[in-house]
Amino acid sequence: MDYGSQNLRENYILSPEASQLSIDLYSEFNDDSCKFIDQTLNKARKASAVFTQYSQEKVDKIVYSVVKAAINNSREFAKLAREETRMGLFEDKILKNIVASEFLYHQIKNKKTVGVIKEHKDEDMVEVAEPIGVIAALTPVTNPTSTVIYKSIISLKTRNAIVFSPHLMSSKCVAYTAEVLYKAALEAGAPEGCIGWLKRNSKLRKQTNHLMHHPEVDLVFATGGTTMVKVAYSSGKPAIGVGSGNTPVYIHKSCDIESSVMDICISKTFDNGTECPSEQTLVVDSEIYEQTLSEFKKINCYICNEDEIKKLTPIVIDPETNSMNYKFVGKDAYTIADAAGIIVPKDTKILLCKINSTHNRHPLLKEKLMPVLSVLKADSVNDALNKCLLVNHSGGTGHTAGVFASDEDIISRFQTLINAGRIIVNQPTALGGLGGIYNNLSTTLSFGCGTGGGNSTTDNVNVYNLLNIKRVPRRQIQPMWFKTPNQIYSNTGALSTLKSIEAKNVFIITDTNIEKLGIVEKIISALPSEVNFKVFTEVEPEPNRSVIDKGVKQIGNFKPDHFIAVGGGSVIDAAKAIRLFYECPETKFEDLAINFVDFRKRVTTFPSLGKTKLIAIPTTSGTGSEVSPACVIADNKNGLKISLFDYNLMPDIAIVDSELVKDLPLVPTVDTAIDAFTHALEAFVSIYATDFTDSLCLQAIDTIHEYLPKVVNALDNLDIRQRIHNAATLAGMAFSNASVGINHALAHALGAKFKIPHGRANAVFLLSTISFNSGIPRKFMPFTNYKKYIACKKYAQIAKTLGCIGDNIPELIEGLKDKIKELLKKSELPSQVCELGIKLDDYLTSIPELIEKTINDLSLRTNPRMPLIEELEGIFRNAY
Amino acid sequence: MLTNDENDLLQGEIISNETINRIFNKLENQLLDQKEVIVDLKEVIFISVYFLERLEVFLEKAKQLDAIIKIINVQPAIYKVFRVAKIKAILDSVS
Repeated sequence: MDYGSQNLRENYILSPEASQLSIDLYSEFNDDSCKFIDQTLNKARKASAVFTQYSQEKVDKIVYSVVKAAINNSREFAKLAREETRMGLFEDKILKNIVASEFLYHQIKNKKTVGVIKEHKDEDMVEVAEPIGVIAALTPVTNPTSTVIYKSIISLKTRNAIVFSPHLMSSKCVAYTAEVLYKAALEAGAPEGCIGWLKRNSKLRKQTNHLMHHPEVDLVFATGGTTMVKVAYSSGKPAIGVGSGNTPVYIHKSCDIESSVMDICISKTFDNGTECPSEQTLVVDSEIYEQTLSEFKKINCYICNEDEIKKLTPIVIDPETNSMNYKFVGKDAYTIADAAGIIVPKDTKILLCKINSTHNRHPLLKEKLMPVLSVLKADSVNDALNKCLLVNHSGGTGHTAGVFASDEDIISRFQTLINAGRIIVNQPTALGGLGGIYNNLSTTLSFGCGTGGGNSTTDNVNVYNLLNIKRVPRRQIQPMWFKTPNQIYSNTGALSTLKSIEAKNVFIITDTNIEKLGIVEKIISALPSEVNFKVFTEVEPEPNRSVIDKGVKQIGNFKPDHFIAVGGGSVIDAAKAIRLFYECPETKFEDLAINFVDFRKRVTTFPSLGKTKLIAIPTTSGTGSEVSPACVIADNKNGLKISLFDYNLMPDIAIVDSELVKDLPLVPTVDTAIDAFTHALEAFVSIYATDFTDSLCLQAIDTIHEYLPKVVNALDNLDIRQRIHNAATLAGMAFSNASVGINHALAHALGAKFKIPHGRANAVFLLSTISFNSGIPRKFMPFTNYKKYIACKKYAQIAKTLGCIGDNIPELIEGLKDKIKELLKKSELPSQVCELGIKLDDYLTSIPELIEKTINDLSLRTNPRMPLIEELEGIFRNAY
Repeated sequence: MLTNDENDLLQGEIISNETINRIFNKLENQLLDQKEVIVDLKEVIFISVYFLERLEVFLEKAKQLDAIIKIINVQPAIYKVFRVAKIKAILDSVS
């Protein structure tokens, strides 16, 4: 079917009467010039609503029909556009219409714009299309019909309704084109009102303004001059506004001159230079300058002399407005030259104007949508790039730029420096910018210029710019690991395993107490006789950075292949740090100490260790440091305790031998054991808990519950000691993977403030944190793998393990608390803060500070219940 | 309520203007002797712009006659059309 019949055409060209088909309220202008816009948009609104029901198949059928109509009428549209605007070339306007239909269709025909449009399998996410709704589309005078074709097609493809507001000088051809396409769309089943347009009338400017601000309009899609684009963006509506440019093109000495000149000629003469991505100023290397100009001359371009440039300048750039003279936009070179009083051959393609390099503000360095080109000579690559930047930043930022070069380094430098949405390499910029002809850019008639051009996008505006894209991510479950040292030796006498280590140089880290107790001697005796060793005994409780530095320094040229840490948590922590800074001396402590919420997403990248091995031999039963990936180092200078955490820090071998704890006095024995008990209790209810950590926790809790009261009365019983010793390591393995919780956060704060041993500080909060975590949280702790709040059920499970009886969860939890009270009592441990010797007044005064410390503690992140400040205050008060 | 015949019309994809005219002519007739008219869209899976326009006009007429219109059993896809179209009279009548 030929939608562009002569009658229909005459309807627009010869008669202003409304077509039956159009949403034409031409006759109503007299009464109320904006009433018809309301009606057009009302219809468009309904069309956009009905469009939501359309399938991809239906949409594609409509698009095909419209594309076909556009192709069949491309000559007619071109003719009308040329006649009405008197700009450009008929032949090129046909090509523009074909680009906007055939080429565009080729790119979008198989694109999904309905339902799921993209699947991101790796991210487990899909993108689903949602139409924009009603689009107010402004069209430029330079490309009126091709813009209508292009905007109609991408609007229909995305199930949007579109209403065109043309430039006054192209209103007839726009209306005609829109109507032909609308009819084709309706024939294919599109909803009525899906394409609308304003017609030529004296109030078009006012109507355009009304249109852009209309409540029924969802998006303003403006293509045109800078002023119009600014108006679009100030409409208060979401807008895609794309406007003018100023394309610099660098002709580097490495290019193929003949080919480059031909490309530029094709581009700059295309539709008499009305394409805004077309070349505006050439920057040519001095080495090829004369040759390049000769090539232009060869193909009938005219090189203006100084006098001619003076005459031409006010014709091209209006001296009053200081911008391009619209009278000559899209005119041929001969006409422009004639107007300037320059005699040139009739078949002149382009007028080239050599601009003096020192004249940075020459008017001809501005945008000129006509076959007039400025040329700058460059003395060097740097000079050329600076000149391109000058043009780029003289009204061209964000739009288009071009480079002709075979030197990839030059192309790379150019694309890095120049701010343009499309940087066209070894191609004509006008046709290259359109996309789909010389390259795979999205075919477009609207060139986004990004913020450089005051636009919201740098895209070649395409179907995806006319969609609301809904992202539908599926819940991602994090892989849960279980990491532990390669070897754990866990029985009385296990120290003898040192006999079989394959070591040459062993650096032993310990403290003076351990040395005095003769334990270091035992270690040395246990090592193979041929092993060299060196002992560092200067570790103090809560080791600080200077101790670590000392340790590293003391290694000197010893070149250890093994470190042995023998001692309590402080010694083992110090050994982890000494090994780290020995292996990676360039590592910065401050970088490693950056806090994190999710270990997997932490900012710090820990160095990999492996030159040496670390053997941890605990002499207390509680910290779990022999199997943990953490160490705490004091920063005395800043008064901070810094936790380093990474599985690279984890010892390679742990030797858990009760022979080494048999002389541990009662108080540190119970203090460290209750720390281990707390590790297990908290890891069990942690949001990171897994079946692997749970089983360790239950075993540790059960063992400590049974054997801690026994060890109190039998400190030298190696069997009991070994049970407690192993339980502490099991709990260490559990918290090394599941972490701890609020109890530790509270204890860290209290311990630091009142110098309370860590185990005791944990003990006084056990009952209140169980109560807190057993309640219904006011705020849950978010973690993708923790899908149900099961803390109370897990406490009940512990209670059952410890032999509690109850008909329901609350009863079991009460039973658990009773068991813990009993355990603390039997172990001569405090169950409340007041038992620690802290005065009530001092304690109450400190609560704000304690809360501050607690809230910043990393341990809180894995607690199942997120505490609010007031809840923390309650816990602190109740714990007294 | 519409009779069975008209109910047969109110189903599937309603795109024929002739069908739409028949539906709304009948509904408008009901306004003459009924104070409450129920439009059951249970079986309707697609509507056209013309359907929307006729529905809007019908609701306007009902309002003038102080009749109550209840649009019931609206499928989500059709309800989305009503929401996007933002026609208050229609949205007010959907129950």
